[in-house]
Amino acid sequence: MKRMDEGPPHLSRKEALIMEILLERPAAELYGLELVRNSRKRLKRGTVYVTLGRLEDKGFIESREEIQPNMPGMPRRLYKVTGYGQRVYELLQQAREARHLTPAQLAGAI
Amino acid sequence: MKKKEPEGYWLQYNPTHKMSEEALALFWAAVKKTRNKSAHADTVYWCSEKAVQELFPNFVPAKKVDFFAVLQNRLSRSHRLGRRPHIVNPPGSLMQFVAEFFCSRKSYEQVAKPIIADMQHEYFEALVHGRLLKARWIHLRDCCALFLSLGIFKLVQVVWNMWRRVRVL
Repeated sequence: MKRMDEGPPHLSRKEALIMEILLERPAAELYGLELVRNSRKRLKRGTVYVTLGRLEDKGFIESREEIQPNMPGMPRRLYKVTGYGQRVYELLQQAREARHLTPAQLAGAI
Repeated sequence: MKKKEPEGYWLQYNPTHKMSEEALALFWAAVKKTRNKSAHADTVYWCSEKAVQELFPNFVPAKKVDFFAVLQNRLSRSHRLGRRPHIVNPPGSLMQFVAEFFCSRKSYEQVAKPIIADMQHEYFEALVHGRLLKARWIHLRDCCALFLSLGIFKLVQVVWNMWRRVRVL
């Protein structure tokens, strides 16, 4: 669910890391443990799901349950970046890069 | 009206206790007088009072039913069952119950359920490859991850709610 009434969109460092991993393959859907593995020890099992939940609340990612009738156990949850999330991530990355530019570079870029 | 107690005793041979050969012979004789035809050392037998008095004239039991012996017997039976192929709950069933009971619907759906689902998949993968110890390690590790996550999730929720209230003021 999007929370549009709570100021400009913001991404914490962990949230940005998750978005980065998910955006490496935008069409693919990853589950929590895959994200932990792909993060090269930058994400922990204990925190990744909480961060994913927060991102889902903000509307940056969406999730669905994996349907595999032959697999035992509960269905895994697969996560994917939404269009809104992708746009926000790209804008925030641009803003971050612009912060490191000198005014002259910035004028040139514009 | 006082309930009439059954006339008999529970007998159990405890191999950790040193019994003289004579006592052991008396015990098995008592067992033979019970209703149980197949005798096993780790089973509790019901022996009639008459048979016990016949075999052990000086025997004065403290309690008529030795509940501890019965419990011990039940535990040893469940332990033996663990080594045979039998139907068990999937790993994480208890975690699921605890999380479902204590957490809100949202934290259960967003945090607890994905952790348990991922754990079960990893656990079954390890079992398929015949790595039982690895499977047990996955179970233990993800139990810790779940409780850590739920603790952190609760803390984050509290801080977030406080922050929202401060912003409103």
